[in-house]
Amino acid sequence: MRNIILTFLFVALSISVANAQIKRISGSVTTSGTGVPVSGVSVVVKGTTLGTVTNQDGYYQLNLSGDSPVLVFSYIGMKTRELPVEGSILDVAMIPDNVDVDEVVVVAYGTTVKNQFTGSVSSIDGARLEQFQTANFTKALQGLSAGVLATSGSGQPGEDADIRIRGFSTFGDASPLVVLDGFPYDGSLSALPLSEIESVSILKDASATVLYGSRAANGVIIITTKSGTKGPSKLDLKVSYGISNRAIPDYDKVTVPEYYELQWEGIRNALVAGGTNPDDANSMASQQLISVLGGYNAYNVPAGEVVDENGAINPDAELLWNDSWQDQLFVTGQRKEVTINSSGGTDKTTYFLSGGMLDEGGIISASNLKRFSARANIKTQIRSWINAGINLSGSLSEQNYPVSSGSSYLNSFMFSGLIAPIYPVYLYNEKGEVQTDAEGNKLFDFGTGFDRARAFASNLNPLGTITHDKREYKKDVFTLRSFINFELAEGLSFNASVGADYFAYSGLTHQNMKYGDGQNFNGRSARQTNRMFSYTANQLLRYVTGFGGHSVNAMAGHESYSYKLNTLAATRSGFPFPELVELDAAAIPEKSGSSEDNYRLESYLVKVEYDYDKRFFASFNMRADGNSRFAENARWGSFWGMGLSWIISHEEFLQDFTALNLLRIKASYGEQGNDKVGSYYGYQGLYKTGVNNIDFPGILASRLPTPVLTWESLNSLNMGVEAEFLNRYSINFEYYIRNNSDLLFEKPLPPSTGFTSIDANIAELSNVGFDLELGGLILNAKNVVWNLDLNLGHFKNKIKELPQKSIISGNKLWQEGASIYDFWVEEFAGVDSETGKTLWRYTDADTGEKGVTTSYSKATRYYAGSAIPDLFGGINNTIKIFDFDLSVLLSFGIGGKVMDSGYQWLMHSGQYGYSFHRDILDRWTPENSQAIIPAIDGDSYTNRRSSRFLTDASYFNLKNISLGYNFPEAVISKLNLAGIKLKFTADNLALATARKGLDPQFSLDGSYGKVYVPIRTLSVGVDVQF
Amino acid sequence: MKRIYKYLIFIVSGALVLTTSCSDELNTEPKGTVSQSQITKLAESDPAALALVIEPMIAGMYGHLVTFNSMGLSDAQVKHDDHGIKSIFHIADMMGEDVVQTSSSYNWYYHDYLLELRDKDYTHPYFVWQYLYRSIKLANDILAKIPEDAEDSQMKAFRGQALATRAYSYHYLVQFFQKTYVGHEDDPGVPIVTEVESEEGTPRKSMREVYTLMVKDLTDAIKLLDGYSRATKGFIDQSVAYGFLARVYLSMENWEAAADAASKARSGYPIMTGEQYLAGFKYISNPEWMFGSIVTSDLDIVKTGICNHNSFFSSFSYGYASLTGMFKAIDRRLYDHMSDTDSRKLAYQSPDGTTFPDGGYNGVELAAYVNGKFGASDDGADNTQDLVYMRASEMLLIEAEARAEMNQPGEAAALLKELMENRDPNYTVPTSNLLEEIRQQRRIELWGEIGIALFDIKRLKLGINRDYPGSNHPEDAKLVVPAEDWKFTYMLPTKEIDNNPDVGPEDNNP
Repeated sequence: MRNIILTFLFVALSISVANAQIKRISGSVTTSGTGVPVSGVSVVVKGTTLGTVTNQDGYYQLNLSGDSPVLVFSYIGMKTRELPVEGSILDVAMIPDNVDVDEVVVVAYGTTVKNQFTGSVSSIDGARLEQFQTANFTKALQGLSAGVLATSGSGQPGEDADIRIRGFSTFGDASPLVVLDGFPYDGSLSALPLSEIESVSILKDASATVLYGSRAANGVIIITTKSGTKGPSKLDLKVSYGISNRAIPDYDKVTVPEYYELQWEGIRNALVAGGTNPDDANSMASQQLISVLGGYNAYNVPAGEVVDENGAINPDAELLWNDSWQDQLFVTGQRKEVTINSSGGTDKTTYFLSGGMLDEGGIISASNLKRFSARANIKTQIRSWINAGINLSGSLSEQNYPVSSGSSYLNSFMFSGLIAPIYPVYLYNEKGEVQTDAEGNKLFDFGTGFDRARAFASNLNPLGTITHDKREYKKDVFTLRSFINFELAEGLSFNASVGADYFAYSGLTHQNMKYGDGQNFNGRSARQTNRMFSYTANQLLRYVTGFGGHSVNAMAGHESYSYKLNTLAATRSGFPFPELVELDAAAIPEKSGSSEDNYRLESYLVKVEYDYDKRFFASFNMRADGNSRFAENARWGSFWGMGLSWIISHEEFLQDFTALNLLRIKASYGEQGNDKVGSYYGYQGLYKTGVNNIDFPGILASRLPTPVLTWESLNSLNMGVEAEFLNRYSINFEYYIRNNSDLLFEKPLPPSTGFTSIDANIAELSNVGFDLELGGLILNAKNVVWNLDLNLGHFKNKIKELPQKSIISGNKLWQEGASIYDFWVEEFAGVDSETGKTLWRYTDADTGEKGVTTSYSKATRYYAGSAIPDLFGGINNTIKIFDFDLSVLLSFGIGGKVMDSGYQWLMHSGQYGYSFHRDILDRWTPENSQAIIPAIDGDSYTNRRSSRFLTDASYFNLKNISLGYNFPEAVISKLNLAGIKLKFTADNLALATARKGLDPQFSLDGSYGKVYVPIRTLSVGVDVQF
Repeated sequence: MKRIYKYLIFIVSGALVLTTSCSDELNTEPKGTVSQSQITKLAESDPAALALVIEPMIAGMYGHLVTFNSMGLSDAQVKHDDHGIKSIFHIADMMGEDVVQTSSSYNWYYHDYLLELRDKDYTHPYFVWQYLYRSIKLANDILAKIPEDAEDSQMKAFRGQALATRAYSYHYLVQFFQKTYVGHEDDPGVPIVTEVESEEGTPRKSMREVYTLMVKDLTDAIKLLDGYSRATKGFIDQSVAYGFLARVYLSMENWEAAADAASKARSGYPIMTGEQYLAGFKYISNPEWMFGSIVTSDLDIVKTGICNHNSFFSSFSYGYASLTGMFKAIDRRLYDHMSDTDSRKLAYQSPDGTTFPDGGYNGVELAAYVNGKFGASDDGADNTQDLVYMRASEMLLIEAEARAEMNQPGEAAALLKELMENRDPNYTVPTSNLLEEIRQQRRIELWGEIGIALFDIKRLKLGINRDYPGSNHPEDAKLVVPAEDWKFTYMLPTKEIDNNPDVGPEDNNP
């Protein structure tokens, strides 16, 4: 019976649909003048509630019935337009409402209209971020926002880039606070798919960040995830596929015959230097050559005849093998991503649902990231005066991350970057026949076998090891963001919110029993699991009022934060046979341990915003924090910030300058803190546990108590001027002075006290600089619209106070007046044209006499430039040609130095088994006595740290190109779809640097070594909107 | 109705603020580490709890003997030659002439061997200084918690161990940072720190004052440790305290006291047999070991694989020696001094390579004179061998030397015979140059163990001569350095000079 009724209803419905006079209308909404698509524009049929909103490309479509309908297009900051429908396509150009030019941006505890905000914020649209093919949004940031310095980070899929906002504000961890949907985020950054991000706001000055109190001195990044909007439900499916390879090639290195000849020369020169007469040295070098390299003779001639007595390769010799480590170790990564999301809403309830899958392969085998993610964001109006919302997300990821940094030979980048070309990947016998196992698989050369002992990393072969080792990290992140809001009276509301993050980490490291370090232990596995749970609960009272031209927006509230981290780790070794990796299988327990950390904050907040006639704006923010990191008497502190802004272009006297759309000035000042000082127990005397005398548990004093230790403080002043004119151009300039004081520093103690230092708030730093953003509509033709945005940052970092006159920190010297990243190294003074020895400068400490020396220990260290670029930023092009969207992002750094240690290691003086950079071919020889590259003579000091290896860090990176093709309306409507877009993207397409092989974006401190280089990803994708 | 809701909301919100805020919550304590306030609270809670607190501090003091990276350097900067008290012995052994390092590869300890690391800005003077002063700090922390007149036997034993630790730490300090005691009694020694809360530093005190403190600490320790029975040889008991005292008196050339203390120290311990000598110096169960560290696989020095004594000294373990060829060999003169029937000679590769025909770890070829004294652990090559800091033969040789100095050749010869019976069945005690013979046997017996290669040449005011005919030292290490040369004595580290208001550059060693 029920079926019959259902069938009847269904039929009836179909008939009614068929009978209706359906007319489909669609079109694009753009900004007048710039041609930029506007998403989120409300499109309503006049006189009805029927309507939709434009999608991210400004596109809309509606099914209409009735006669001569009129569509109403409205959007905040734009003049509302009413247009009659004629035909099936209606494109609309929205005209900015200059009285109310307002881009809404997310800031601390709310949103604001960007042009009214008294502080400094830059906002990056999620749609822009989504054009990057990366699992981690931090990798996309460099070049998108003025004053934000982001490193290229490890190329390993899923890894973070380091971010610094407006300089380096502490000697410790200067990374910004990350806020997700209103609450500080403690999960993994790679757990957030770019497709779920609506916008990223970067708060740069104190008045903007101060509401995050003692955690905000390094700046704040606010991530806002997508939400639904009122209108019909939309379904959006995105599929993409990409391939990846090295974005940074290897250095230019010597070939096999060149290597043998150079190494011969090194042996020969070392013999001569040791007193052997040159003729004897020549023949001895020829005889010794193969044996010092561990018996590796890549040629089909006897060992003593590979290189003749004049150092030249035997012309009759033929190569027995010529394996390329690069080709064998590196693979083409594959990237597959599918996301599907749906959003929509009624008058009372909106929703956003999203699910995604990412499989991103790295460029070394066994390096990848797999991630599954989902989000549901629902907001509803329960009563006319009660709103509530909940935003839940979950992300499960699994990362395989082989050793790819540091000086371990297991690091494929180190190994392949340094090994001499004569060493094969696979095992060959003396005749050059490759050896195989019983199944015919090629055997790896571990530097042994056939009486050989490779002079480079013996008993290791990363290819062999990577496939047998396991380094797997699982990260599961769940987040909750929820609120309930009550309208209590006109303008007065109460809001209670809870945000929580749960982050479970499970890591497995397995060193296999067959090869490498694990061999001695019959395999070794370490497991680590962490459970992090943090939550923030706040209760806020908001009040909005207006009288005359005045309006006030105030908020006061309470917030508490709690963070708990539990860790458990264990290691066992001694596996019965290969391929077992779990601890249960291993015989010998080596180590196990667990720990718990707690960290809490208790805070009170006040936020007041005032404006007069939309011309004058003032704000005052304050937060008081009680922080568990500090002792009871030093625990509470207040942080505050205030700002003023004046929109001059709204004044009467400028109304005649119609060319000027906007002119405004602003200034802000504030004081805030950084509580990331040392441990979570920053004030307590601590004893390290686990220092046992076998079964007797021991503790060891590890930290002196510091009861007065407190947060680092920041005073920051920001001044800006902003203008828009001719409806085409914009400029935004901000100047800032940031003084960081009470910086935590280890104050040295006489070691005879039993401790060598004690933590104290003593040092001071300053960062003074400017951010500049220029925007322009370069071309605005009928079918071609080209927008260009340029952002630039510059700052000077200066140490203002230190507890000691100077402190050497690696290759930097910290002293007052210098920056924290000023290189302090031996100065290279060329090559002695008589001997080919390296010359370094020195200044005699007693007499002040200067000169050059060939003795490295006599060389003096001098300042040799800074790792900080003079200018950095990005150029972003957005071009619309017919149905194509093209965006091109170029990021760059100009000036600054980088210590190119990758190059340095290749410029040795004959270290057995290590390859050379091709530059060595122009080394000093008696015939080439004017060379600036020292002779090869076995002197290990030759390539010691010096200014010789400091390289210009300037770079231009074609960071992202994204080309989209929007299928024409005719095709889409035939397919009964809302839109189809084809996308081609390229990340890290080309990089120009001072030297091939160098990546100056790798670090903030100007170091570069053998690291997982950034990856270049080319991908195609399709985006279908239903 | 709506109005009522709204009042309700105020009530609810008030309750929310109250329930989610609690200032007491801001007092967090670490759970993996221990805070001083936790310890103080526990110790004050009741007198019996004091022992609960001190026991782990005592264990930690012994843990310090095998601690890795005492300087707390970052992973990138960490020094592989910072692996506890054995690093200090290793440095000292390198600075004499008894130990040969066959290769400079990887450089660890090689510049000690070349006597190039004494300058105030080098790492090793700083390492030795901070390591031993940390040890003193750990002892002082314990001493500060126990009243001097404590009657409880457990408390007395704790005090005794801390005093002994403090004393031996000072003894090593002065042996590095000043010439020997005799003749330099009024020269500056090292700052004396006996208080806990000292962030300022104190001046260098004379050698006489430092030695006076050591003798007093050890004498007190011996009294306090009377009747104390330790759980393992990883703790200091009365015999070990006597042993430290014997060493101090030996430095002071107080022969009678040295002989007396040494004799008491080794009472109850046999002298091991030649066979036991060749068993690889790996387990504390060796009957004549008096004090050492029991090494287990959970220690950082083991987990690093290569940052431990056996990595550098053992030719049969996985480590620097076997993998990079920086083997430790015995000086040829000492080798030749052993007769062919001396079982200790089998602890070294013979010039014709017959002692270890199969080579060392993984069959690596062992050159002439390379040691096989330190064997692999029974579990394989994992370097979990126990570490020895004091054994009975040393005490016997101290007594023998002291008796010979006291002109008691009969007693001295008898003692030497007692040792050599267990080493060389054909040995006869020479009738002349007995003192010289005792000292030679001491160098051979204790080769590579406790740093006497340096400490003895300083104490006896000898130089070194590695450039003799047939020397097996590498070319660049064939040094000849006269007695009492400053090369044998470290400068005080710059960090001390810069930060201690009472020690200026003018107070440093030349």
